[in-house]
Amino acid sequence: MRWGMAIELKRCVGCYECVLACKAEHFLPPDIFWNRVLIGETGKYPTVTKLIYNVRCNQCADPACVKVCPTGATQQREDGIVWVDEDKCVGCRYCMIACPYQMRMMYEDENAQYFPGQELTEHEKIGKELYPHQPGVVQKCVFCKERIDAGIEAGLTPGVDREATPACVISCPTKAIHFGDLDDPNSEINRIIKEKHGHPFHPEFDTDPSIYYID
Amino acid sequence: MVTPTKDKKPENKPVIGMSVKGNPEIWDDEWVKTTCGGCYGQCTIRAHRVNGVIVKINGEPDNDFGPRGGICAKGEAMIQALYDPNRYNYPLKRTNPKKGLFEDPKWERISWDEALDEIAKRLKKIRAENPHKLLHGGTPGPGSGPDLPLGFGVFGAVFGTKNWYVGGAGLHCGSGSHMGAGLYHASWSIVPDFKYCNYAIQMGSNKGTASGHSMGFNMRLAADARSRGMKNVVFDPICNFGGGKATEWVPILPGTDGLVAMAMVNIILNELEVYDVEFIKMKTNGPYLIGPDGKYVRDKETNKPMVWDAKDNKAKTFNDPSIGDFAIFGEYEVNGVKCHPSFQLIKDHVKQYTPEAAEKESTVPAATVRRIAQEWADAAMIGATIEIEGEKLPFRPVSAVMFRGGQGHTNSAQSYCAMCLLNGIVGAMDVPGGTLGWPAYVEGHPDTGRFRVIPYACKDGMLTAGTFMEHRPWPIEDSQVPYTFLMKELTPTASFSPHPVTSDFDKYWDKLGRPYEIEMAMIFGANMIRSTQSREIAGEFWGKIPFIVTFNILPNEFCEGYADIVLPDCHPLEAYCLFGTHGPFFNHPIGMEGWNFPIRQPVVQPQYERRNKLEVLWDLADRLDMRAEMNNYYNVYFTSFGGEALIGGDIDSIRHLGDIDPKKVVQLIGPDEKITYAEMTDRALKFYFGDEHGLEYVSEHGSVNWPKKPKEAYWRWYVDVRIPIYMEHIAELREDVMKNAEKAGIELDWEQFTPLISYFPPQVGKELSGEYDLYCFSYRDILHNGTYTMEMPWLDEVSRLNPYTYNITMNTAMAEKKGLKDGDLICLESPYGRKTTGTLKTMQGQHPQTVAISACSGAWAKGAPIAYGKGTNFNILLESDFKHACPVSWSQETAATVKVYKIDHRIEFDGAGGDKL
Amino acid sequence: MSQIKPYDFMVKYQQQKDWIDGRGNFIAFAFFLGGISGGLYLAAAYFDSLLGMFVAWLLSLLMGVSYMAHLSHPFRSWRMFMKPGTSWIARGFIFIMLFIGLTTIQLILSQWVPEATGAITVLKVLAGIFAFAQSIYTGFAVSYVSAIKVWNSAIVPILFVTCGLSGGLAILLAITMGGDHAQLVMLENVIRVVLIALAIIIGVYLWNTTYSSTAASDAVKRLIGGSLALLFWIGVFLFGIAIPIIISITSYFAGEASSGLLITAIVSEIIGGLALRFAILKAGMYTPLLPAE
Repeated sequence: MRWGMAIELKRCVGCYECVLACKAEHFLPPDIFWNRVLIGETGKYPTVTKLIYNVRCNQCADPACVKVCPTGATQQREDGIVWVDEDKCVGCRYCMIACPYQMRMMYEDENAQYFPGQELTEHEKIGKELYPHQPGVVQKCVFCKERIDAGIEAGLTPGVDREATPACVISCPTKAIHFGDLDDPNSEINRIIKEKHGHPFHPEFDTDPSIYYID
Repeated sequence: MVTPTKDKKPENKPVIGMSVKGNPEIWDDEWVKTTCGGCYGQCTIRAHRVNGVIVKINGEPDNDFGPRGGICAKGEAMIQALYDPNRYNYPLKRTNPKKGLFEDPKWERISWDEALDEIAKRLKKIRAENPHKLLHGGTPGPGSGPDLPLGFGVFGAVFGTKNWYVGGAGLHCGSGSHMGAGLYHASWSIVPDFKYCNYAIQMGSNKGTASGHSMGFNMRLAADARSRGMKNVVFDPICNFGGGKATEWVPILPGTDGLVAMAMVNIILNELEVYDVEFIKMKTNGPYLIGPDGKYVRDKETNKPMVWDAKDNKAKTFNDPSIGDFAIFGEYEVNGVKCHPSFQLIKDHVKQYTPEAAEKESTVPAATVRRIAQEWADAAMIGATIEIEGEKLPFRPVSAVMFRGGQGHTNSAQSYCAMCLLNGIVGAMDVPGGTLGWPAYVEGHPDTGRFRVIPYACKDGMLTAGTFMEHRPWPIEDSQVPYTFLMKELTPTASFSPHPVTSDFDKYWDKLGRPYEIEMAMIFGANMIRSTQSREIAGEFWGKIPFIVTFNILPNEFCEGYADIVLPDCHPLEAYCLFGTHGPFFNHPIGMEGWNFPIRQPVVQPQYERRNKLEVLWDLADRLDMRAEMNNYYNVYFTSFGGEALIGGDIDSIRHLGDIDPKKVVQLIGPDEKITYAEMTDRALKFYFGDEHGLEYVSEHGSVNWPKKPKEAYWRWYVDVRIPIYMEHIAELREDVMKNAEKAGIELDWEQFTPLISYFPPQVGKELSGEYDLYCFSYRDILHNGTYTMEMPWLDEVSRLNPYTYNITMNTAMAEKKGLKDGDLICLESPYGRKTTGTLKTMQGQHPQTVAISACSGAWAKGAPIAYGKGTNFNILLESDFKHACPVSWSQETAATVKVYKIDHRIEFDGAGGDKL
Repeated sequence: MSQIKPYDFMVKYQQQKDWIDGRGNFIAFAFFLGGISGGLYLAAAYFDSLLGMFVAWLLSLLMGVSYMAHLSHPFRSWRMFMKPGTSWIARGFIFIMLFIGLTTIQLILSQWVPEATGAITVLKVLAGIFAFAQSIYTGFAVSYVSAIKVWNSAIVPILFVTCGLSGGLAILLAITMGGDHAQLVMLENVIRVVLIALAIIIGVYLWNTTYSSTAASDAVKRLIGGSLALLFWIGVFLFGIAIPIIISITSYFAGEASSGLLITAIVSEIIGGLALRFAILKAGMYTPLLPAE
């Protein structure tokens, strides 16, 4: 079992919903992003191509972050998901340094709020109950492992059933993100990667990412 | 719907479909099906409520009215508008008598009774004197809409005023496109049939990438099309949203799209000579004979337009069943005058639009225009058919669409029609693969036959919409001497008017003897200062109105600067809304996507003293003894979808209530009944879809769904209607408009009142000079809608992460030439001395002669701390007068010429009272 | 460069911030302290300077403190023993602890039980190994990061060790000043060699790195001609190499250097060592994820 994604760049229009779906799902504090949309362009006028890449932790099979973590806070599950045990993280930031994709963030200012100087919104308040974040530790995308775990327990299939699939995947209005088991040769995601020639982002980083991009 | 409370915990359900850490106590875990209020799109959504708080928005996966499970960032961020600590929670009264752009209203909390009594007192007086003294208006912001046919504008119309002003409309949307889409598709707007289209051309449009209308399903269908390999050519000055997803981006100067379309029509008709003869003969007025006066040659007895039967070699009325073959070429003599089929005239007329001529104005290389025309004509597969669900249909997998960018200029109507002509000559209209209007043809719910709208032929056999909004695209009404503040009755082809918020309105009103003055304004939701052209001109107009009431959920520049009373509206997640759209022709999914009728319902109860504005309007109606009239209007409106009391559109229909046979109107609401919104919703749903599909059913299921038939999706050849590719009605209208305009001292560009679709250089191009050497335009950002989205912190965060949203962009080489670089604070100044400032970001993907600003940012309202000072307000640069309006559609010139230079601070915030910028 | 626009994140070349901005400064200090502490201990052990070894012990403690100051959860630092298998920070932490522990015992024995020569020698050898380890691991911690091309070089550990040794020797020189003259001369001779070696290593490192990747060559350009040039040329080159070498060569020919000059050289070299860590950490750049414009 190895969870992975395939992102069809042709479909993505750069609406940022994956970013906000994640922010809402995990009640992420201001300026914390578990995924991002990188926007750029190549070429020279008038032959220009706009680039839109939705990026997040690649849940690498050979993750640099896990290796460099001195405490074992950053760890990899059987299903490939790399996550951070908040109670074990000392905040040395070595993992942030080591990730070539720069997909880790440190949550520092626990007093940061979305409407600075005003009261916390009800959404922020309930977030502190439902998905609290420890300050001073490193955060990252965890492929919505809580959704996956609860979903599987309820007999659902991640990548097929919405409730068991990461929030960004099901929220995408252009259905640009596919999710599934890379270890299952018959999975839909493997079919898509094969048929549409999916490739990891920057394979030269040599970390064996679990996210594939389709041009 | 009963909201659970902590002491009434439902039975333990496993927590799935949400990320939870540890073991928090969860006593309320509900997904409520409703509709999004983030933009006009009105996508169906599911809102997740946990312990009484909305924590998440998902798209609704089980119907087609949206991205089928997905949603856009604005929709997700609606949670933050709901819980914004800056929201209006109580009725407020202005205590600072001074009004102005930066004035602090010094709000004082008052009770609802106090507010409504005050408003009713004034309304009563006005209604007795002259109802037109009330100006009403607005555009749907969050919570303030849309409820288009039930609230939005209806109250004022029932009240009796014709002064209905839609803020910034024509600036943000398209007067020309609504006119043209109504005329050619019986619909409010058009979309490529993404499912089957193989070659789409977009002109200044963001269909599927950022557009507000039908945003949700468009994004989904357009993504499918791109993935499938649809060719997508985008003519646009900037390669950001539309251009960024194009298979070919063609940079073009603003306002010249119509010329490129005409050049393509020329190549197709005169060089390639591939066009859909059958479509032109049967579905257009191409065969109609045109006399030397430019008008139809009409049958003396019946007054019907004549055509030439090539088989019998004689003239016949257009719908004579004996016609063997419609002539579309040649010269004939009928009724003693020389005449030609209009198609012959069109074909000859377009010869002047050579690609070389188009290149000069648009900067699109002639070879590119030629190639695209050729590719398009090849891709049209004229003569091909396709079978869908057993129905054999014409297959024309090409589509040209245009929206605000392409037609937001003084040549709006003509440019849009030029683009429509491109679709028309290859027959790619409302057939598989072609350009589709939003559904204009719905046979009704299978159980009841209601919710039924069918386009039909009326005057001269032309396509007539079964229902429409505001005005009827066909038949064209008569021109009148202006008597409203909008003056739109002068030119009945116009969708929206910039008046009275213009610099020249007073001149005309004076000339007309100032029949009356506006004594009060009621505005729903809109930001009439920041989202309209020129805040100075707008400020001057609104500042003079003695009493202004607004409904809104969040503070904005208009409320703070000009409103006397603010009424706190409900957020869409707190409110019912029966009509998220206006009817099927407005925003419903296209092609073989299913029929869905969703409703909006409260996911959480409104807090504080917020109220649904419709119920507030009913309270006011009670105070004015107007409730029975409102109820009667609703009965007429509901009954009209179903065929009995067929009417034109909401506001229009109020004005024609007298024409409707009362016996055909079903009494859903008794004249004296005072029902709640929920009750009205229940009755309307049961009437449309049967007793089992009342509010209870729709609350649970979110929408009433039924399958669409191919006949409904691709109705063009199922209805015997034609479209005016020769705009005879405009020639017909011209004299009357001129005569009536003279009485008001109005001068319009009369040349544009021509029946032969033509190109006219836009005003913005005429203002270009050595000093003011760049075009400046604004365009829609995928992250924003209207002005209120700037106040949502999530959207603000990602806007800052986007290179273009908050910056002014310029072509890299041009910036270098001007000695400017990324990060410079620059000032844009128009030839009229209007200035706005912002931060420069250079990009390769932009026409060198342009400067661009996305979205409607640059807020200065004190009650919008997140939005304050972010981005640049483009609208400051615009003029607002007849010189800068399309004479036919009255669309505003949405681009300005500017000079660009460095500046040391943001001058437009001087005096705003917030942080110095 | 660290002030990149939010929308340029991983779209343009981007400097690493976590080990340089704010608390990140303490990492540079820790690496520097680890280096000179290790270098000083080795030199002091060789020249048998008890005071030198004691100062090395102090510096190592300071390194630990600096490290703790960098952590956002210092009270969990005991967890940093957990992953020596793969993590250089964990290894380094263990090296530091072992070094401090062994040195503590050795210093106690040397001071109060000097007759236990056997034990002292064994401890010295062991502590020396961890002194070296403590010094070189800072280089490995950096060079292990393949994401940052300018760091990802086998020369970095050698560079850090050499730099630490030169700093350590300089401190030992200061301690020895006014003491045994013969030892001083010998020390000066060693310093000359180490300084020249350091200069060569830096040169080779920069040369070699220039050709390793675009990101790395970009970083080198920033070091020698860009935003970090001042730090590099004045901090690393002038203070770390030029001034000490000039003084050292002058003193070689003059036969004897004034203590004022020597102190200048020593301080200058220490500044240079610190500047080198800052320069290298600041030069750390990530390769953009999007194709460059």
